[in-house]
Amino acid sequence: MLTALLTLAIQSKADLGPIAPSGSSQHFQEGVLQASKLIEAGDFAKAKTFVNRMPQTKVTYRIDLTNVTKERQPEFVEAIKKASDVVKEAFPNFEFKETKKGEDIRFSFVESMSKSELSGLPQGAVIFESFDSSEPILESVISLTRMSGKVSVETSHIQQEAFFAFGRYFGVAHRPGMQGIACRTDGLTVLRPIVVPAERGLIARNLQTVQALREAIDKKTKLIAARVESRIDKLNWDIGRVNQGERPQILIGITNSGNVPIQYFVTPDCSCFLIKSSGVAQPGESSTISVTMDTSAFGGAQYKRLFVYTNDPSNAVVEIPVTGFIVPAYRILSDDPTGDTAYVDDSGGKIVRYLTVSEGQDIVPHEIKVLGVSGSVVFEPWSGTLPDPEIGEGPMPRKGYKITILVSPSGISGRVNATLAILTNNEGFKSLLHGMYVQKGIAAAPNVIYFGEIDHGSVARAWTLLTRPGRPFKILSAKSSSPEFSVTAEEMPGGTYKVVVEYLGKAFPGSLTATATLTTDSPDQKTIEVPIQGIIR
Amino acid sequence: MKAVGVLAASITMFLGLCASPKGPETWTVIIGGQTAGYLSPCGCVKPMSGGIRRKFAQIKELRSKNTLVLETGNLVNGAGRQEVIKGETLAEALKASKVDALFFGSKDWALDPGVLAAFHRLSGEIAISTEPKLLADQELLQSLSKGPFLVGTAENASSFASQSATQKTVDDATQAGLNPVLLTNASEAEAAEIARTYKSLKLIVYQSEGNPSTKPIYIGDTILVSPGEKGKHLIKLDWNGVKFENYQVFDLGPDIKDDPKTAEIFARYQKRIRDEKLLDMVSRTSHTEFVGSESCRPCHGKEFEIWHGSDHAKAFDTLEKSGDFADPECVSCHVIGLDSIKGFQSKPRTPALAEVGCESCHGSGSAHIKDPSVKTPMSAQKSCVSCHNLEHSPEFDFDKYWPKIKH
Repeated sequence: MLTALLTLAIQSKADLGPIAPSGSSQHFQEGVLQASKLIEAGDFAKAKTFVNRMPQTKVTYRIDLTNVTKERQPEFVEAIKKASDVVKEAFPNFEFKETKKGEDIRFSFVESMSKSELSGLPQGAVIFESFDSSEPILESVISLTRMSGKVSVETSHIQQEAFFAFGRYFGVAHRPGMQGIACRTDGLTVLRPIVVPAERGLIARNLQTVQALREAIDKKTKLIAARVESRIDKLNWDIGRVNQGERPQILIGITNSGNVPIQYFVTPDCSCFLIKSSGVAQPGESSTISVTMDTSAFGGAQYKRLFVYTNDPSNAVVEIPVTGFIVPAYRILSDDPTGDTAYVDDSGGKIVRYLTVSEGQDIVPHEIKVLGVSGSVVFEPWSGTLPDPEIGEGPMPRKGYKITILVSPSGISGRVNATLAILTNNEGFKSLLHGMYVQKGIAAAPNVIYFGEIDHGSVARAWTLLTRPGRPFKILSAKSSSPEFSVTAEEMPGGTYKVVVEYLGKAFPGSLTATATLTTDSPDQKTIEVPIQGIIR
Repeated sequence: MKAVGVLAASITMFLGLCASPKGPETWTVIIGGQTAGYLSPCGCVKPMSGGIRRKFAQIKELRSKNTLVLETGNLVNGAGRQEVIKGETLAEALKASKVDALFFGSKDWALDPGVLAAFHRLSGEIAISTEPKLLADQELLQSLSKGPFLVGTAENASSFASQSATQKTVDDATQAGLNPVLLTNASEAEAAEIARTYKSLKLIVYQSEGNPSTKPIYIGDTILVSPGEKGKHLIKLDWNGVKFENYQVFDLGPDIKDDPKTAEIFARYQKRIRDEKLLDMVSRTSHTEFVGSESCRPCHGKEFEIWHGSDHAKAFDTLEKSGDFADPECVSCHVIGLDSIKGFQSKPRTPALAEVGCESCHGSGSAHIKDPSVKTPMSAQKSCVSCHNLEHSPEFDFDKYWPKIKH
């Protein structure tokens, strides 16, 4: 009885082909549409060849290491395997196999690539997808250098690009963000490889879509191809000049001119957008996506983006730039070239900040405190000329208050956080907080690299940040006092050094201590020592 | 149309008949947090609640086959080396006890990014933040999905970033067919507002002062829960497949035997405090000289004997037994003159000051023993509350406590 009922149910819906979900890649959506059209035309043999080029749970890949040095080849192979392991963790029934020929996915490497329009950086990798059976289904060409050839690609970047390529193979469209199989970066940031729940659902739905096509072909059931056709209005938005705190609205229209519902969702690249993020537009109908932008947390020229994802192959991913200028209600500025970090010596130090208030705004401080360090604060009305580099404004006349903080050196060891708390008469800006650091010399935070427990035989990694903002320095060498650890120092943007300590997995159980010694080009701090602690179990 | 309806009903009925007799999977959710540096119960009233050794023992006991364990911040109560070590210790304990997700509080975020990254690493990288947060070059996971739940976070109820994060948690959970759970630093009133706005949230964990609510708070089907301050309680909920029920509050009292693994981690914390000599780094703002209670004995023999028989005389022994004798936060109320450069340093260096002695209440006796006509500087009655404060001695009442040491 069940079979009969289900057959009837399937037949009643069998006239319309499957639709790729929104969030799937343009290539995947086109594939679904093309295969559906072949089935609609009754060309099942060609449709089968086509569907065989679409994702399935058994995946083969080949790694072309031609341009990779012999020393790095094993780590690249391992990184790609690790990426496949992460996918397998989310989908235990998937199988990944490295092969020498006839691969679904090919990984290859080139020395460098041209700039990406999206990121403004040289591309870290490029994906090519093909329905031509003489080519791999997908090829990921990965650059061996990043940041205009300045930095050799790290193993973690290879893993990230391979992970992204596997996601793309399964029909996942690129999405802004820092985590997920849909995300990647051309920069140096290492993204954490994880298949987020929404992506897990998307991959499953993509595979169900392919399975539905496959079943129609096997049973030679004719389908009408679902044609999703949409028009998206307002492909760019200028919010104009708005005062900080205002909430401009952005409206994006979606019109459905196809024969099936359009599913859509919107992802912003900024958490300042509040969106009812998903919806459906029925055939012949229009739908409006309303996005509100919160401008209370920042000011200056804005360039942000909204990404609309639909199940229309011609509008699978639509990028909508949002531009404008937010006039800040107030600014807390500094004329100190060292930026947010104030230096104190053994006799203490003086920090000066300016609260500048925009024309027409009523913000009057009645109490100002400094938290996190010992000190006293005085403030007085002020007018003068200051630049505001953070929002791209040069020196210009400003009005407000001059705030002087006299910091006591007691209790400051290395680098500590301090907060200036300005309490005002304005209900909308009752309490203005301004964070800064107070530091003595080059400092590590944390000042001890603590591993906690490490399992005997396993390798572990920990790090600290070495800073002296405003007074750049160089680390000339890095070493460990113990052969159980290796120490490296990586320069990061802003003159910070990331001191990475790796435990090599060979110590006997028990407490393990060592010192990371770093030599610098700073005459007053030629050597920096950071203790390392761990317990081997 | 009618035919389709009948067909759908028939299929539903048939599938219903064929459905597995097994009900939906049940889950246990355990919520702790707001530790704020209180790794161990501290005070002069018994029983004192809290401490990580009891907490993780209790979590172990409450675990069932399907368990989700959530921890909220703040881990620490401010900046400074001791707070960093506390945060690292708590993070290690979270990892050892296989806690699933950690949500940092505002005081945690005020720490240096490298420090917070260390907490994240030591916790087994379980920290999540739906509002994108970078720790140097590493971004926190935006959500956790485990069993039927998707756990997201929102700093508060009102900011756009938080509203977006809440919306994202709800949307992501819906797309994945999971039940959204929100960890927030918002208050109870704000959490209620969130629950009214995002009705599909099943659980909101918020921040509160004092002890947790004794009764469950529901807004529609959303349950609102806070573990209360200073890590003194745990909350346990049961998930019946549709909603949360069986709200239970567990007071982490002395009846709970310490978790051996956490005790080991806590002992390491004590050792690190000792090894880093944090006691030597205490800010000492006075130059007052102290003489110790033994110096008072020749003239005040009777008073000395009464004092000697009291718990005050054994105050430092208590710390030696617990291993906290080098912890500046504990030591200040168990010795004489920690705020003075001439006060307590350590028991071997200043043995006469390793006690709550005559000078703890009466003030320095150095001038008085040279010239008995010079009175000791402090009013003893007023000085009690510097240690017997609401925090450590909530039941303190001079009239009730004085008879215990009357002299």
